[in-house]
Amino acid sequence: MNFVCALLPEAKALIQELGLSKQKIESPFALFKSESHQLVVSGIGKQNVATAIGFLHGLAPSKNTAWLNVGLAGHGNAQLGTPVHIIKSTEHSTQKSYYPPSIFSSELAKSVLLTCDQPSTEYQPDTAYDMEGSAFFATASRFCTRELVQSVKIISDNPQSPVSGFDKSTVSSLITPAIPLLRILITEMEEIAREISPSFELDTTFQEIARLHSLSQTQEYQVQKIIRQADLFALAHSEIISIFSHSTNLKSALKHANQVLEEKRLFP
Amino acid sequence: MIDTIYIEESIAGHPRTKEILLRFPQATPISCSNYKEIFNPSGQNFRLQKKKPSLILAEKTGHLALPIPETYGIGGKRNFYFSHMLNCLYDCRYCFLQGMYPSAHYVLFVNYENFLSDIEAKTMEDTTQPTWFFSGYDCDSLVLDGISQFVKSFLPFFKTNHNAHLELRTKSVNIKPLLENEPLENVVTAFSFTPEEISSQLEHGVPSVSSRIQAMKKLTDRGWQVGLRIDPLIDCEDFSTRYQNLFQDIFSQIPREKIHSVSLGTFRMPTTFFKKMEKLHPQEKLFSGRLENRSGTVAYRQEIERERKETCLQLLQQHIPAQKIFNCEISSSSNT
Repeated sequence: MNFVCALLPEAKALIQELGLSKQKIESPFALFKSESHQLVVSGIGKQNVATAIGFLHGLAPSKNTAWLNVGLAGHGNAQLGTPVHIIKSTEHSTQKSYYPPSIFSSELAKSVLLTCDQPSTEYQPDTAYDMEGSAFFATASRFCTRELVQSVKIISDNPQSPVSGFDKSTVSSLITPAIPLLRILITEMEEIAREISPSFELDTTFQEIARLHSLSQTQEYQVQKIIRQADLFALAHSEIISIFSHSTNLKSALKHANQVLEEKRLFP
Repeated sequence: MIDTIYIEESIAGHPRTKEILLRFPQATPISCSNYKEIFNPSGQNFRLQKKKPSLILAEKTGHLALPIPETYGIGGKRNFYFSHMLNCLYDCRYCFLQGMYPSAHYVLFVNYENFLSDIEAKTMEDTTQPTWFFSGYDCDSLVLDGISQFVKSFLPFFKTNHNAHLELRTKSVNIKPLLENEPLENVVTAFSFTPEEISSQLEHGVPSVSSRIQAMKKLTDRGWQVGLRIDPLIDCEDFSTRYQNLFQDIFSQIPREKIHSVSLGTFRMPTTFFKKMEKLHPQEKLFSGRLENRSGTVAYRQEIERERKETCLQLLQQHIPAQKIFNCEISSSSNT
C-alpha cells in the first residue's frame, strides 16, 4: 500500500506505526518502506504531490495498490486533532470536484476538502482546507481504481485556532491519537486491494506458458482465459501446462485446452 | 444502510429530497452540481461499490419515457420504459447493469412529476389503444420503495388513466405498498425467476423463490394481476427438471387467470458489457458457460439457446395458454 504525506512531521506517526525504514536512494523525495508499505514525503503543494505520486508508482507499478494521503488541514468547525475522511475534494482555482467512493466501514467523520494554492485564512463550515488534496486524487486515481484512493486529514487549525498561530511542534500530538482509526481504514483498504488482485498462481502458470510460446495480445487474452477457467473448474494447472508444452503449435494447444474445458462448462 | 447521500444542487429544495434526507438522519449529505460527476467517471469498480453503495438524489432531464426494444413487449403495441432509479439493491451475477454502469451507487431521480407528465403525454398520443410503461429496466421496481415511495407516487395516475398500463418488474417481496391499494386492472407486477438452485448461486441478496411465490399469491389473492419473467434462462445441469419444478411450484399456487403474461428470454449480453462483467467477477462460472459471440452479443450457442427455450415453452404450455407467453429475443420477435 502507498502513503503520501506532504511533510515529514505529518508522516512520523505512520512511519512508526507501520515500521517503515528510510531508503537510501538518489531521489528528490524522502522514501520510507517496509515489505508491504511505502511512504513518500512529497513536500507542500499540488505539483509536489503529483510528482511524488508518479515517483512512488514508478518504483513498483501496480494497478491494485491502494493509495492513502494523510496530512493536516484546516477546518471550518471541526475540533483540533479530529481526523476526517474526505468524501469530496474541490480544487479552489477551477472549482472542479472529485468524489472518492465511500465504501469503507470506518468510523471516521466525513468532510469535504477544498484545495487552495495558499494556506487558507478563510474557514467555511463543514469544509476542510489543504494544499495537496485535489492533485492527490487526480494523480493517484490514474494508477488505481478510485475506491482505493482515499485521504484522511487531521485538523490542525480552525476559526478559534487559525493557521497563523499554528505551532509546528504540535503535529505529532495531533496525528498520533488518530492512528488507531487510520489503522482500521488501512487494513480495510488492503483487504479490498487483495480481493481485486490477480492470483499469483494464475500468473505463474501464464508466465510458464508464455515461455513456451510466443503470444500475440489476443493469444495472451485467450491463454489467460483458459488458465482462469481451468482454475475455476478445478483442473490442475499442471494439466494445462502439459497441454501447452506437448502441442506442436499454439493453435492446437488452444483447441485442445478448450476441448478439455468443454466438458465442464455446464453451469452447476 | 446508506451513509452518504449526494444531492444535485438543482433538487436540493425538492420536497421529495427533503423527505428522503429526513429518513436518513445519520447519512452525510454532499452536494454536487450533476449526478454524472459521481456516477459516470471511469476508473470505478462496480463490484467494490456494491459492498456499500451511496445514494444519489438527482433530477432526470431530457426524454423520460423511452421506447422499449421492439421484441420486449407483452402484448401491447405502444411500449415505453422509464427509469426513476438506476441500479438495484440485489447483486445478480447476470445483471447487465454491472456491465452498463461505471458505478453501483443508487441514483434516484426525484422529479416524479416530470416522469408523470411525460407518461401522460405519451398516453395521450394515441387514445385508441393501451400504452404500456415498464418501470423495472434499470432498477427493481419495488425493493427500494421504502426510500423512493415510487408506488404511492405513481399508482394514482394509473388509477385515473385506464389507457396507460404499468409493469412493475421485481424480485422483491416488498408488496406492502401495493396491498395498501385497491387492485388496478392496468397494473401488472411482474416477478423474475430462475430455479432455486440457480438463484442461490447467482442472485445474491434476492428473496427465495418460495417467498417470491408467496408474495405473488398475496397479490393475486387481493385481486392484483401478476406476470412471470423467466429471463434470463440459464443453461444448467438438470435444466428440464429444475425449470419443470419451478413452473410447478408457481402454477400450483397462482391462479392462471391472474397471470397476465409470461416472458422468456435466454441469457444474452452486449459483448462490451460481458467483458466488463467477466473482469469484475473472474471466478464466476456463469461466464465460462457454453457461450458464443454473435454480432456484438454474447449468448448461448444457437443450438443450446433454441433447445433450452423450446423446452421451457413446452413446460410452460402445460400450465398456461401459448398466447400469454412472450419471447424476448435479441433481434426478430415472435409472440409465442
